[in-house]
Amino acid sequence: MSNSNSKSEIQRRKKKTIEYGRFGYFFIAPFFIVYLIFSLWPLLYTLGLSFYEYYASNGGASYVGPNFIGLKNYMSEIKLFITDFSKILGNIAGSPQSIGNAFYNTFYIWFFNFVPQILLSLLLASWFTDIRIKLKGQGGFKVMMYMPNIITAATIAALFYSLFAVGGPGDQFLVGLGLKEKTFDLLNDTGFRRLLIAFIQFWMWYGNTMIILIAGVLGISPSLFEAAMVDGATSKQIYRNVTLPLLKPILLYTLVTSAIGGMQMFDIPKLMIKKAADYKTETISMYIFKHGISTRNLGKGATASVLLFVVTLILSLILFYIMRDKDEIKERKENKKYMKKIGKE
Amino acid sequence: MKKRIMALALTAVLVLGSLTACGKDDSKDAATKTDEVAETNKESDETDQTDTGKEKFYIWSWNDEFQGMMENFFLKDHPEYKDKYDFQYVITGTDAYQEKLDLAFEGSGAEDAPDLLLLEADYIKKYVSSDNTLKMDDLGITAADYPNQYNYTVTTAQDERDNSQKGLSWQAAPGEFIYRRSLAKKYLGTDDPAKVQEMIKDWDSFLEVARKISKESGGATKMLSGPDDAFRPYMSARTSAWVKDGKLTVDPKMEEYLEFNKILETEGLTNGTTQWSDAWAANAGNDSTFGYFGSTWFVQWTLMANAGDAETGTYGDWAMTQGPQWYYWGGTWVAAGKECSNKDLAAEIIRYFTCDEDAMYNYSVEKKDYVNNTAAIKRIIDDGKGTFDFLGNQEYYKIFAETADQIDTSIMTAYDQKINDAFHVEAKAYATGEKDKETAIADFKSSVIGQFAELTE
Repeated sequence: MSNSNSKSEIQRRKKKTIEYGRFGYFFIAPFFIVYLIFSLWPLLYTLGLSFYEYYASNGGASYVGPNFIGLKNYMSEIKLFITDFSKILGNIAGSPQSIGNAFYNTFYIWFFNFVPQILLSLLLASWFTDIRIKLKGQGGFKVMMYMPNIITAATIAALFYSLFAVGGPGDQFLVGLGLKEKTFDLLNDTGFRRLLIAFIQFWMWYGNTMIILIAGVLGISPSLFEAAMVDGATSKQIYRNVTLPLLKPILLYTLVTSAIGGMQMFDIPKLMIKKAADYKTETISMYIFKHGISTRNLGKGATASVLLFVVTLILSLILFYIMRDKDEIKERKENKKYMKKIGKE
Repeated sequence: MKKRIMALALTAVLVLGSLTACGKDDSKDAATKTDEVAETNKESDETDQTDTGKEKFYIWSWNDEFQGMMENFFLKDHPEYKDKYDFQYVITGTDAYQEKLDLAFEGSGAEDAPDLLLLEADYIKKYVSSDNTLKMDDLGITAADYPNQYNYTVTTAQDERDNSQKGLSWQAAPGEFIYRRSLAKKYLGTDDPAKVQEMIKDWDSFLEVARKISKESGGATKMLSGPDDAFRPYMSARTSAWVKDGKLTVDPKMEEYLEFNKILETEGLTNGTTQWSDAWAANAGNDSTFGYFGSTWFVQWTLMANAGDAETGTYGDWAMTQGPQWYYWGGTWVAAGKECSNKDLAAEIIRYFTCDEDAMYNYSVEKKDYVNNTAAIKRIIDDGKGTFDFLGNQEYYKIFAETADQIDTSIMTAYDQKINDAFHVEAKAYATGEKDKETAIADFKSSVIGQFAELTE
């Protein structure tokens, strides 16, 4: 009696454990359902749309398509890309104003935002984590440096726009100094506006990058630093030979997320212009918005989106390749060789 | 222990990482959200009080003008609707209006789909020539209901495909040149509109006066606030549309505008602002700008809003005259959305604002908005109510009436707003010497054709 009892007990327990296992799926199910409906399906749909001719005609009153046209959308975008770059290089007269211009602007702004950002963040992170310096009031500094990130992008864009608009403080300053004779539209200058957007992005995000890097440095075992110090290494040596190599995974993470974020830059550059047709600082996301949503050329918008995806993918792969752990790969190869050797013997 | 610290730190990095990833997205969302909140705070206030049991009626607009008209006029005259219907105003702001409308029409069955929507001159053709708006016939409004409307407001809102009436307007938007009386006395020796009109009767004499004002004031006062202020009069002077049979054309008048714009820019005859910028609006309240080109709504929405009071500002120091060219600028039409939930109510509102002569008379007298009803306008002028202390008690309705009779919108197209935008960009590039004229026009064409797949050069 007692025997059969314990048997059923075990069975019941087994049943219970199986049920618990099932709960795991229930818990992750909502994510996958939402992902399938709101992420994966639109992704595939966009990819599909890029092979169709599908746009609002007559200024948006009616639609043409969808007609399958194969790779024609891609061909025309690549043609535009080439034309734009011949314009940028000065081989053809006129302003570049389509997809090539958008990619060029995006890279330009991202580069002048990211390079100073990572350098400053690394410097600040090393200062804040240095055991010898022991900075006072670290919390205050960190809060201040993180602050621009808390303000919404729209507010910041509006602030900088009015700072440099005609008759604004920037304009008055230049006229007051006698550098300009009359009021001047600073924001009409392509180069200035690109650098201004890059600066805003830099200013908004360096605090954030700094915090990530600080966390990364704190994650390195202090015993390594102590050992290096005992061996008589200078701060510079420690930084170059201990901190940086061990910070590599975090740096890679920062680089990749920043590259993806930079490629999708939209809010600040969009809010810095007053006319939608102003392509001077148009980024690729704005280009997609203009064609896919404003004028509703869905085929063209989808094609540009797919191209953006491809470029982002290539960029990330390049970053992963550059930042790969060479020692680990070497070790793995040697292991393989060793195993082969053993096998032969 | 060390392992534990390491693990903690790594988790912290991961969490921070995911936070930043979210942070990036959030800032974007937050940006758009604050935008919406800023522009639609009235709407959200109202949507908070949901489930009152009343039938909801959605009115879409880019600003709160129509909401004010509904609350201060329609619902005051028809208080019974207040208890029966819950009026919801979806106010999006100018920049996002078309995009949001397009999305609303695309997805069918949404609760807040527009029952009534407001359409501006620059893009009305896009909506009335589509199936997204209802015919006035379907609402029971026929041509007999609006015999006194200005003809151009009627034809503008007709479907290009079958000429059926799709929208009606409560206002006409004739444009004038509005200038400062005190500055005119100072630099031109007179503030009499007839004499000033004689001085600026064409564009060459307009430029002469601009040079004179700039010279005699020592640069303190300029003729216009920005070089793009004269765009609308030139637009009305065109004889061919931007787009004809799928071909993009640049009217000779627009080439003239390019030159005019360049002269204003290079000779420094304006304050260098862009239209709708803060500085541009603020110049209405100081002595730096002699005048503006503006139409009926412009007087209240821009001039009066920025003029300040009579002592410290410029209130009452304005006068109006035709200027070098008759023109219209803007104008708002009301149309019913394709999924209009209550056609009777929609028709009632449209009739009240655009057909009912007495209601329009009252509205016009109180709001100083130039209504789209020749009979009501005539009554106002005859009653001596067509004056305005803001304009030094000038009989300005008479001037508007003269211009309104000339308005012709036959060359309006559905593409106008986006093409105008692109033209402004290139006109500026030409004026500042960034490009020569041929390149500017070529860039303009490729910019427009890049945006509209069906157009050709």
